[in-house]
Amino acid sequence: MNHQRPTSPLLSRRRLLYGGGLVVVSAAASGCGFFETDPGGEGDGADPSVDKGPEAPMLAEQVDAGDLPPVDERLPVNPLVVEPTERIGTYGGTWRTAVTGEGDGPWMHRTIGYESLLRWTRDWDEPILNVAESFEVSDDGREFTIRLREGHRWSDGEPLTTEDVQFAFDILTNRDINQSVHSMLQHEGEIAELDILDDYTFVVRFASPHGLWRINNANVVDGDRLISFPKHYLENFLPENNPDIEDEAREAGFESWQEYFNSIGNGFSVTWNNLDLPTLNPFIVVEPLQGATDRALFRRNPYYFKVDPDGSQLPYLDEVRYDIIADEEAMLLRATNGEFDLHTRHFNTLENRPVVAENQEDGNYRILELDSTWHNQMTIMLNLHHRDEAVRELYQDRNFRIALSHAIDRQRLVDAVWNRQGEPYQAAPVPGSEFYDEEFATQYLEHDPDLANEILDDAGYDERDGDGYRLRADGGRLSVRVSIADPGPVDGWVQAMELVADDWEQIGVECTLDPKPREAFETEKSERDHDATVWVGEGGHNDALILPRQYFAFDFESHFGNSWATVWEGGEFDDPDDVPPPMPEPMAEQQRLYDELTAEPDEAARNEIFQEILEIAKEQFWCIGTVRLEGTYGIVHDRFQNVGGPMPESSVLNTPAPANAEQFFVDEDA
Amino acid sequence: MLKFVGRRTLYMVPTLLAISVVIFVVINLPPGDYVTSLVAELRGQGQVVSMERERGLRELYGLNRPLWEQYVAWVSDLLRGDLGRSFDLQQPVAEVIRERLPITVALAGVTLLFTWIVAFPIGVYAAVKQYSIGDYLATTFGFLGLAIPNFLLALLLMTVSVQYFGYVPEGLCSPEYCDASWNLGKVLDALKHWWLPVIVIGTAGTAGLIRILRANLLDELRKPYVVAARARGVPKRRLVARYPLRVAMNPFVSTVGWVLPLLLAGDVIVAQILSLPTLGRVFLTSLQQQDMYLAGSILMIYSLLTVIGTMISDLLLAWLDPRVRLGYQ
Repeated sequence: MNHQRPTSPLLSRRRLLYGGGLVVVSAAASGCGFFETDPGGEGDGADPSVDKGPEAPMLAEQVDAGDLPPVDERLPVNPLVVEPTERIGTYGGTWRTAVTGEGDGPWMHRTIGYESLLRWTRDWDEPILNVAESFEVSDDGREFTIRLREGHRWSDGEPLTTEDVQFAFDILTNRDINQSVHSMLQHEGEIAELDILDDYTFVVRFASPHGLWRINNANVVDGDRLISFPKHYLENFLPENNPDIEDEAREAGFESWQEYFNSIGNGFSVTWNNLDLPTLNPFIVVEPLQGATDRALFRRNPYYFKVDPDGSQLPYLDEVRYDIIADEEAMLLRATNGEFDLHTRHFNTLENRPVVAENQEDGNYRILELDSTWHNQMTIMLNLHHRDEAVRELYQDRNFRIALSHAIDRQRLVDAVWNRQGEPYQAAPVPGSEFYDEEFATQYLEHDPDLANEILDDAGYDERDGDGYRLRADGGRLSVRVSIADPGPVDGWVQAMELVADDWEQIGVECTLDPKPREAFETEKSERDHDATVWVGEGGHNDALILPRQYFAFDFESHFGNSWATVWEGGEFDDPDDVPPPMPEPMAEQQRLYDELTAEPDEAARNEIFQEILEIAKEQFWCIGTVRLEGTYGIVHDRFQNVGGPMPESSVLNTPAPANAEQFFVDEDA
Repeated sequence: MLKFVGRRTLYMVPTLLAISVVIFVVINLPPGDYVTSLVAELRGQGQVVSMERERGLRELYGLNRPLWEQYVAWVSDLLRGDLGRSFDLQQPVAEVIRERLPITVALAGVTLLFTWIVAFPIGVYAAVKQYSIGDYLATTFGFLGLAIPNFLLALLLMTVSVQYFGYVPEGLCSPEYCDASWNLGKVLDALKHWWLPVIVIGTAGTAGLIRILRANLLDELRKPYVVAARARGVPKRRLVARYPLRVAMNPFVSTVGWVLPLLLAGDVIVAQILSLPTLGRVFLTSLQQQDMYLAGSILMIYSLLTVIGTMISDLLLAWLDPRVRLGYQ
């Protein structure tokens, strides 16, 4: 057993070259003289006219050499058959893409890190079976019986069994390692129970019905928690099995065995960083992302559990290569030069779109349309749990928010900031979502300063001070200081808010902008010291029910009432000063309804409850929407096949992972 | 001389201690800490992070302790040669630095050579042939080099390279060659990638050096001893190289020590734009993410090298210029 830390890239490259495991590279390298200019290695793609057989040529060679068991011993008894998006592919080739650096883990998840128990379909209709061979929910919604695939193996050839599930469960509920029990195994304050029925079947049982657990198992990270801890490897890093672990941890440069363990096998980036960690993903790490100098490299998993309709083992591609490009401008250059096969991140801003579109022909790529699941590029959220009582009272006044909404000239925002793309939109579900409600989406959208003035006059804010600003009953100005995370997740917020501030000044409301770095922004928000914030409108599509952040105080990203969400989650405040003010009754009702929803096993009934929550959100108008965009985009190289057409873009859907990276292939003639 | 070195070394201790306090305070000045940025990142990915977990993480990383306690722990670790660990990379800082050091030093070294090789002859030429066409050219390019921000130059040259050469020269090797064994192709490939960072990082330094050298040399060339030597028939070339140039080197030598920290950190912004795998980029990210031990330790090493470099400069100056040397005695 190898107890080493993930090795440095220099070491790993050396290993790669001299290790001998990689027949192709070393064979090619040995034939290289200094005066040749060929980099060595193979050309991309294989000849499509030849029958591709049941496994990749590079693996067949290893089988012939006796280094690997035959393919039918590596596949589960019942492998998952993946229908290709367009056509059956051929083996070989490299997927060229890019990350900005160590912090860009989400793109790894979105490309090769999505093997949950269940998985979402490409168009986000429903969860389908993935690692799980079957997934049954009991009638009362408390018990989930899951069966793994017999013969399914980790990337090192060891079988995946319920022993691994039990091990994962023990890790995830171990507060010594994780500080708290993982949210997947907790429901209404109770920790789930795990029953192992046999080598492949297990039951997860909750004390009360859990309506969302099945769906959560299709989500990235949450859905793979129970199958991400290979026991045979990781148990050696626990003190009960390895008395020397504290010393080993210190030797490796860590303060405690917990930290060491987390860096080895428990975290969101271990899969890309630890060369020794077995995985279920289609590609396994060859050159890690961590400490990478210019790229990270992944190669096919010989034990991957999916096949195409011919019964040929997937993935089709040999390798996935992530060049590390820290700067977005540089990434744009590479993109327009046709150096990526499929990429949908960082360079794909609205303002870059004309450049990307213009170069399609020269760069040999096409634009892949992605439908936005955000209902808003910029939702304005007043702080409804403000520390100052008078300010809080003003912000909680629905009429004030309605007046502010009518004062905004959204068409000007569309024209000036969003390149004349997009439409005025409230913080409401988007067309195409099953929760779409036109009235909710379009209420209070008209730009009507007169109406706004009238509403404020009628609401009792008709007194003005010497500078023309309206006054509250207690004599304070109607004023809003808008905190803006800069840089934020989308560009243009400061510019857009300058226009909005201008609009608000017109109706006698003082508005100042306060752009600040993300950390400062987050700290201010958690201290409830902000007046207002802007953020993107997540949860517009089918993720509305999973991330209803802007429909009520749901979690920390509900900027208008994040402390209420904390209380709801069961968080406690050390300092009595931090205890939030009472929540408005309608919002408390929404939280009650959501509790009901999570306990409801029937999908139709759940959706009905969610409609009720949305009704209240519409009625109360907690936050102000501005502009919605139809979508964003990515690029697909002409040689890269089976990616398919438009799909929804969302961090919950983990776009483009549901497009099934394992069946992408390279066809140089296409 | 030994006394001088000893005294200077002794002065370094309080200087470095003071620097360490400033570094630690400044890094901790912005609101929030590493856990804030970690949690924000996790939440941004749609993860649920409870307050309990957030508190647990602070405890795990020791960020819940009072600031002075964290400082004392950090400094005493530093004194024992332990640079701490990076929260974000989950690696000891020493390892992070070691992995990136060779390429960082190599790039800075090549850039430095480029700067000297280009700047010296041009600077001397511009002074000796003052107001000639060559001088005007050197001056124009010198000022342009000083005035154009590095990042802009990097972006411009990259665009030019894509337009006319059909490749993006970022990084230090092409993907297909990075792992290849060394052959002519790899050497050519390296040249394809190194020219850009070397020019971009080197330009400002080159321009500055040209100006300094020219100004100093001009001052010297007008001095009576030069005129006297010329009048007595000393050949011009030998004269300039032996006397005025030697004196004109003083300001150059007194700044040569600053090269030492430069070797380590290089140009942070350019490294970011060109995706250079140097320490500069790690440094920038660590500051943004409040990965405080990584940022702090890099800054500390940086300061140490500055202090040592300054001392080396002084020693070199004393060696080069008898006037300085005698002044100490």
